[in-house]
Amino acid sequence: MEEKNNMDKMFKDRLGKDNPAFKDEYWQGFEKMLEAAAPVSTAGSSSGFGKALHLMTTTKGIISIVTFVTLSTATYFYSKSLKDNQITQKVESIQAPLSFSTHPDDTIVVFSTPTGVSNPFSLSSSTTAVNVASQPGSIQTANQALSEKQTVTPSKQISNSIVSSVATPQNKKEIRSRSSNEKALIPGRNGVAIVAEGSPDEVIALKEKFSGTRTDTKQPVEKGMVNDLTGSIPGRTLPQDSSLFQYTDNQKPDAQKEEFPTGNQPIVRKDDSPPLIPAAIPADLPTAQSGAIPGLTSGIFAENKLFKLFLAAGATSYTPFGNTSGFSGTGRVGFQFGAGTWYEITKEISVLAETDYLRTSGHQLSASSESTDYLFTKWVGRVTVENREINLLHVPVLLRYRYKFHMFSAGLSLQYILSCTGEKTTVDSVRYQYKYNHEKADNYIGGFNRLTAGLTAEYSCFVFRQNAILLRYTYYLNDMLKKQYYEGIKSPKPGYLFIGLRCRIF
Amino acid sequence: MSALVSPDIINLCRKNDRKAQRQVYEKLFASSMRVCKRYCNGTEEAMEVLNTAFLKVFTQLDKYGGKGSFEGWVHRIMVNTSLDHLREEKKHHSHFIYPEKMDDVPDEETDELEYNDIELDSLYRMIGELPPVSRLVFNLYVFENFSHTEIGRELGISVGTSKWHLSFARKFLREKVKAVYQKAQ
Repeated sequence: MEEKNNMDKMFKDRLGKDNPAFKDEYWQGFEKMLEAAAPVSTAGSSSGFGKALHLMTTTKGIISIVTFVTLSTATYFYSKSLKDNQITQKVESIQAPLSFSTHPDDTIVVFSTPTGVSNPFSLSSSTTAVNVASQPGSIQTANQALSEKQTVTPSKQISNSIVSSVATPQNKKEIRSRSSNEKALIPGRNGVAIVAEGSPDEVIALKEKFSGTRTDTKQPVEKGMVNDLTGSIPGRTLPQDSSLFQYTDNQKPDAQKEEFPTGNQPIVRKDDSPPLIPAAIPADLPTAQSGAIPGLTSGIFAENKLFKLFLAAGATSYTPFGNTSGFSGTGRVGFQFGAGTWYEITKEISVLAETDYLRTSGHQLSASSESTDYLFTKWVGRVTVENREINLLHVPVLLRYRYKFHMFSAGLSLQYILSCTGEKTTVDSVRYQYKYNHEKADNYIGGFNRLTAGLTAEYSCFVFRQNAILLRYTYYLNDMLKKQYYEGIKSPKPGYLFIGLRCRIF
Repeated sequence: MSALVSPDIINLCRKNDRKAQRQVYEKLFASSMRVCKRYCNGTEEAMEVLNTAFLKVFTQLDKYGGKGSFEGWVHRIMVNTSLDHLREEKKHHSHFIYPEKMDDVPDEETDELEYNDIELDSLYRMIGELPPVSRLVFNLYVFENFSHTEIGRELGISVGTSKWHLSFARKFLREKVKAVYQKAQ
């Protein structure tokens, strides 16, 4: 180092001997600065709306909003689930094996159970077993209290999904039908009229039988079909000591199974006890439609429930919005995947919550200070901040409107940075390498805001059943960089464009 | 030279121990303030930069791995923070009028000057009145012992430009010193 100038020597010698005195007030001022640097500055607009908006974007505000939304949603869904469970419990009461007791009038009530109800009469999802026995002028149906008797006329058709039966004096009849795709009113013997349900062939067979034109008297049980009375499938019969019914076609003696019951033939029980009637059927049994009865399957995510679970995955791109001057990031594409649920408030409107893991590599963010090629020199005092890789959790909570196959969603999002790597290039080209982790991200110079909140808009479209492609953009209200450390650096607010597929799994 | 700050104190500072932080702040105040005052224009501005630099020191203490002296690491942060501050001075010095041609800068004078009577604050003030780039080159060349090549590489300027800024700074300071000396006479 040459030192040929006395001006250099003068300044170096004189200033080198300077010993600025330390004062307590210096430390006190700095201590305040230290304490102020810990929390994020909350200075903002003086207007009420501005303050509210600003508070919403602070960490406390974000946590408050998320907590409020979560609790409100959970409360709402819980109350809805309770209501559904009440229906479920009522309906599930028929899932238990029915108890039978003798009826003083020796009445046997036989009913057709809807598809999917797991009671002793319906072990097959495609079969309807109908068993009719009659007592003069009386009939009991499953959608009424069993103790209540109802007088019917031969032409009266009772609930088609529950029971079809007509009674005549002193006759006990048994009807078997294996499907419920056709009905017919059959004039039977002794003035009996029977509503028969079943496939065309079965209806014809029943017509033949009850009109006296039938020639064959044996009704073979097809493999896999439900046996009459017991509802059991051959090979899957009830135990021998079953207290319900004694026989199936495979078990009962030949004398018993050679004839189809034609009336005046009591239903045989193992213990030869009097004819049976079911008891304790709930009066408000819901009417079954083509599918399952709502609430029959337990669990809040059952098909009939309004909760839907889904998986989502796709490509994401760091796409800041607005002022991107100074932004020169490249290689911002990454991926994200996650899971979530939506709850249908109405057919058109639903609430959707999702949690995604998002990872992008390359330079997602490159923010620079304004060019410092000031004066007439080409000296560039450029400060650049780049984050090379980022791992975060992305949690959108959206309100969705559905129109046919199209869905439009909007709502709030949270971004929680798990970790990221960054690099800062200072004015003297000294590079600092940063590696952030959970504990240190908030304390590092040049740290990134760990928790940020944003707005999300989404369009999705069903492409196959309930699988949809979706296009989502999330714009975050907070700066990704901590401004107190990057004063003067223009940093675009983070934004992510997501293109992916959402598949319903449950 | 023995270390002013022991490793134990540094570890306490990592745990945000206020007493330890104050100890570090107090022990390194003088040397750090000297650096900041050279790069800044005035004591208040230097205090602002010094506190900003110390804030970085305490919040980024984990980056100090123990290799090299802690004082040297702090010194480097002081310099870098001062450089950052200098960038911000662009707008405040945009009105400064440089000579139109580099040839207009006179050759260096070698005559001795009587300067012992000049106060330190006056010397700091003279440096502070330099344009930012010239101040930066002068500081790096004289106090940090950088060569023009190193300055050019660090600042992204040519060696010639660096030399011009140094010459300009010397002449600027010489005139200021002369004026003060003559006034004192």
